[in-house]
Parts: sequence; C-alpha cells; structure tokens
Amino acid sequence: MADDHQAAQSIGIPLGRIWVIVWCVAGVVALVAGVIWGSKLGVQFSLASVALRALPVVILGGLTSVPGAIIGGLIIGTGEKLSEVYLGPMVGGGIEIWFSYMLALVFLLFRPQGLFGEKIIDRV
Amino acid sequence: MIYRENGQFKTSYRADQQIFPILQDRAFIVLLLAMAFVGVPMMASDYLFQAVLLPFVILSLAALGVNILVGYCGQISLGSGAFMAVGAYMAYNAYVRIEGMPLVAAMLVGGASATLVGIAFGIPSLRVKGLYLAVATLAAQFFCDWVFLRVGWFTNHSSSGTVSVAHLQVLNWRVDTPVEKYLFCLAFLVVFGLMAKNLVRSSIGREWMAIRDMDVAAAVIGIRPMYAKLSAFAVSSFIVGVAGALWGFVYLGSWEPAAFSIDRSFQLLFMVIIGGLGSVMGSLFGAAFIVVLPIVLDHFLSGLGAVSGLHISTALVAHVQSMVFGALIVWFLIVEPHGLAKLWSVGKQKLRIWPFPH
Repeated sequence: MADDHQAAQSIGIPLGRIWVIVWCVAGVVALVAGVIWGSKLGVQFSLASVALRALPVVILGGLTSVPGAIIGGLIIGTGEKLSEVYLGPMVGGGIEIWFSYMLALVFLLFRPQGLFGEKIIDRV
Repeated sequence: MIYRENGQFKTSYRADQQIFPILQDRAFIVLLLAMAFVGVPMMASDYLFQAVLLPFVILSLAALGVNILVGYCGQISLGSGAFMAVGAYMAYNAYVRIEGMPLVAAMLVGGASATLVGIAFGIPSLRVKGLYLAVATLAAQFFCDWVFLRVGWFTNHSSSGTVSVAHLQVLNWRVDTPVEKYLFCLAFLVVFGLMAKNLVRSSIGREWMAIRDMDVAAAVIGIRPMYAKLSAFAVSSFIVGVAGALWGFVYLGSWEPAAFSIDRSFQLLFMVIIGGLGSVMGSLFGAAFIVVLPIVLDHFLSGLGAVSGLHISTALVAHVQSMVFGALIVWFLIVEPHGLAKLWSVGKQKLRIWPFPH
C-alpha cells in the first residue's frame, strides 16, 4: 500500500477502507499518548508541538518498526533530559529543545533506516 | 479576443527568449508595477500599510524563497523560519557592529549568512528526502531558535534576546513612514522576483525542476544532484534571509527569536502550497491569502456580530477565525490541489480562447 498505491489498488486492496483504518489506529494510539501525557504533565495548547518530537523518535527507531518506536522513544526521552543535565551547563542550557532533532539528523546521515527499520531506503 | 498571442511573431532569438513573450502580459506587468509603486501609496491608509501591505510584501518575498526550494526543487523544508532568523540577526550584527554599514549591504550580509546556514542544513538532502528531509530541517529550526536565544553575541548581549533597530536610512533617504517602508520592501520584492523568474527559466532552474520531477532520471541525463540541490538551498535561503532581515528591520523594528519560530516555517510552507508549488506568481497569491484572509475574517465576524445583535467576544472571534481559516485551507486544497497559481493559469487559458470553449 505505502509502496505503490496503484499496484495495491490493482490487486484488489480497497484503498479507501485501508486509509480509514490507518488513520483510526493512528488517532487512537495518539489519543492514548495524549491522555497519558495530559494526566501527568497537564494539558495546554502547546501540547500540539509535542507531536513534532515524535518525528525524531520514529526516525531513530526506524519507520515500519513498532519496537523501534518504543526504543527510539526511550532513547530520545532519556537522551533529552540527560543531555540537558550533563551537557546543558557547558553550552548554557536549554539544549533539550533541539537535542532530539540533531540526534535524528546524525542518524539520517549515517544510518537512514534507523535502528530497526527496513534496510532498503530510497536514497538519491 | 483581447488576450491573444496570434500575430505576435518572433524574428530574433532575443524576442523569443523574453521573460514575458506576450505583449499583453508585458502591459499587465507594467501596469501592475505602476499600480504597486504609484497607485497604492496614493490610495491606501497608514493602517492598511502597517497591517496588510507591509507583511504581505515581506512574506511574499520569503514565500518566493521557499517556493524555489520546495516548489521548484522539491526539497521539503521546515526550517525557513530559522533562515529568516539567521538573516535578521546577522543583518542586525552587521548593521550594529560595523561602523557606517549601509542598510542594504547589511541586509545582503544577512542573506549571505542565511545562504551558508542553508547550505549546511541542506547537506542531509543529498542522502534523504521527503519526510526525512523535513525532520532534518526541523533540526535547523530548533537549533537556530536556541542559538539566538542563548548565545549572547548574536543579540549584542541583550538580556532577553530582544534586539531593535532604529533610524533606517538608505543613502539620504530616511525610511520611517509606513509608505516609505512599503516602497523599500516592494523594491526588494520586485528585484528578487525578477531575479527568481529569470533564474527558474534558466538552465539552473530547469535542473531544479528535473531533480524535483525524478531525481534518478535527472542524474542519468547528467545533472549533478549535489550541485542542483545545494544551489536551490543557497538561492532559497538567501532570499528567505533577506526577507527575514526586512521582517525584523522594517516591519517589527524590534524583535526576539520567537518572531521566527516553527510557526513561521509552517506559515511559509502553507503559503507556498496554497499559492501553488513551482510558480513565482503563486508565492504572491499564497502570501496574500494567508495575510489577508485572517484580517478579512476578523472584520467579517465582528461585522456579523454587530448586525445580528449578538454579543460576540473577541476571544470567540479569534477562535472562530482560526477554525474557519483552517477549514478554508483544507477545502481549498481539496478543490484545487495545484493552488491559486493554477486558477490564475486556467483563467489565462480561458481568456486566450474566449469566446470559444476550446
């Protein structure tokens, strides 16, 4: 499906229904994450920008990999805080806002498929 | 009937390679420029300049830069806000630290610094694309936000990260009234618009489009992906950097890193998508849409409240405004995925064949 829409459709996969299912599952999983986050750390409008930090997580763990997402999340989460505590004072603090993205950037340069992602990635 | 290229024969290479080959187009552009430079300053009020025209002109310039990268070269970027910030802060540093630095030169220094940062953060585009590149450019955004907030040198060691510029002067021309500011920014927009228009129809622009359409095929016919992509990043971030300098110097006057946050990047990306990917005119349309629509909605909703006699609070107006705005964007993208520029070209085509349907 993700590899080739037309090919998927031509072998009889109902595109519309698959889209609905994919979005529903993504929504429910995100909902659970949001509820847990909200119950621990409070709900504000700025919660929307938390979702952006999920991108480095999936890149680190590797797209198309559930364990990758979990382990990536752990690494990013602890990495952010540890870097803030240990590296932060050296450069003036506040580095947790960009640490995860930089980590993802380095990963993209040297291991674009992430930790557990599928090996083949379309490179230029 | 009126808009026809029939009978306009080209007898020299020069005539064939003109930027606007059709006579009516040339007339329209001249009229538009005359309108923008002479007509608008005579008619518009100060409020209109400050609230609508100035942001529109500057953000058009920024959208033009983003369009070169995203629309022409197909490299998605969420770091445009960061490049604007680099342009603004480096222009500020050049302006404040170097004695007697001309204003325009300071802005070009800002653009040049943004170019360097853009190339540096464009390097990942050589290995990754699509969503991956978006994340890589997000790193640029957050990193630059942090640098300008934390590293004192960039903000001339101001405690809150806020910097301000006063007394803008070009040669002997004091740029201080809204009309003068507008004309100053418009001059930048026209020069860079012309430059971009010429660039995208040159060989380098065709290389970008080839990379966008299919990078492997482009590499096969002898286009160097590295050169094409990095040049797109360079040109794009130069224009975005100059726009950032204008935004800081002319529009805001005094600004802090939050003025160039991730929201700005998204806003610029929306402008380009709504206006039309891969179209110089589309950048202007997109900027107009994003800048003007919230203001129009705001007035419309307040007016609606006054007419219907209901008491509508300001907060409610603001919330409804952002909801309607979001819904309009979604609706618009479903109806016309190619953006406003597509409507423009459809209109032109219709005009060309009028009164016949084909």
